[in-house]
Amino acid sequence: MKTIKYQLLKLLIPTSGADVQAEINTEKGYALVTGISANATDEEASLGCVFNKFEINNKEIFPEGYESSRITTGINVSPNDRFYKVTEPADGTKVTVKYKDGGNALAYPYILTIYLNLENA
Amino acid sequence: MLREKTKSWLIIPVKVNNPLAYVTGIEYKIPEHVDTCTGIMLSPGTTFIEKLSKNHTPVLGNISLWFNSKTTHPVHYLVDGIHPKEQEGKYESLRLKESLKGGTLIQGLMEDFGKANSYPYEMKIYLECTLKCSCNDK
Repeated sequence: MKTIKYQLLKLLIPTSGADVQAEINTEKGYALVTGISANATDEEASLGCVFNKFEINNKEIFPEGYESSRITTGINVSPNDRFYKVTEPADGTKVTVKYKDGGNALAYPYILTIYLNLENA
Repeated sequence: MLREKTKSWLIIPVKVNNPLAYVTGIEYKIPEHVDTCTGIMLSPGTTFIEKLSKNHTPVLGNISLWFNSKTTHPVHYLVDGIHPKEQEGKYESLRLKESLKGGTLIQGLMEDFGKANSYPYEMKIYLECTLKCSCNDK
């Protein structure tokens, strides 16, 4: 039977233009990362923000300069379609994210949450 | 030994300096290690245009691209100026029937309509590609 888990990676963005880096290990017991999504607590923040690194298991998922807004979705999207589809190994692999704020948030600090959709086949 | 092809994104930044210089040239060489690119996505990047009403789709400009060193002209498309917070759907790439080959040139222009919220700005062209080898792995 397929089992699914949503793992969160939270980044605190302290100031305008900040560069923030974070690393987590994917949950053990889940074979694959099958989706990625992102959301910020400040809705104005998403303009101009980029990932300067996004790797899973030392493999580049998004190159430098990839806008984080490209993996967000609007409210009209069905919940199960809100993830950017990937198929990468999980089960303890390292996820590395470097994020650069675009300087457009209404207030600082704000939190960027990255959601990882983990599954067992 | 056959290696599985790795998916990768290429990003072409296009800087638009001011609305008076409204046509910006684009020239970019697809890296040699890229096998093919089969999807394209256009982003207004660091700018946007205020929506006038719920059903208004603000248009930043017009982009026109020639592929494979000017052998084909498959992209002539409007670039929307929607702020990410107004996005109602999902960002997905447009499929290209004319795939791009590694080592070839993309050439074209971005025509700005003078309505952006701020100048200068940098819009982005995203290309969804596969690599000839598993070059992504470190």
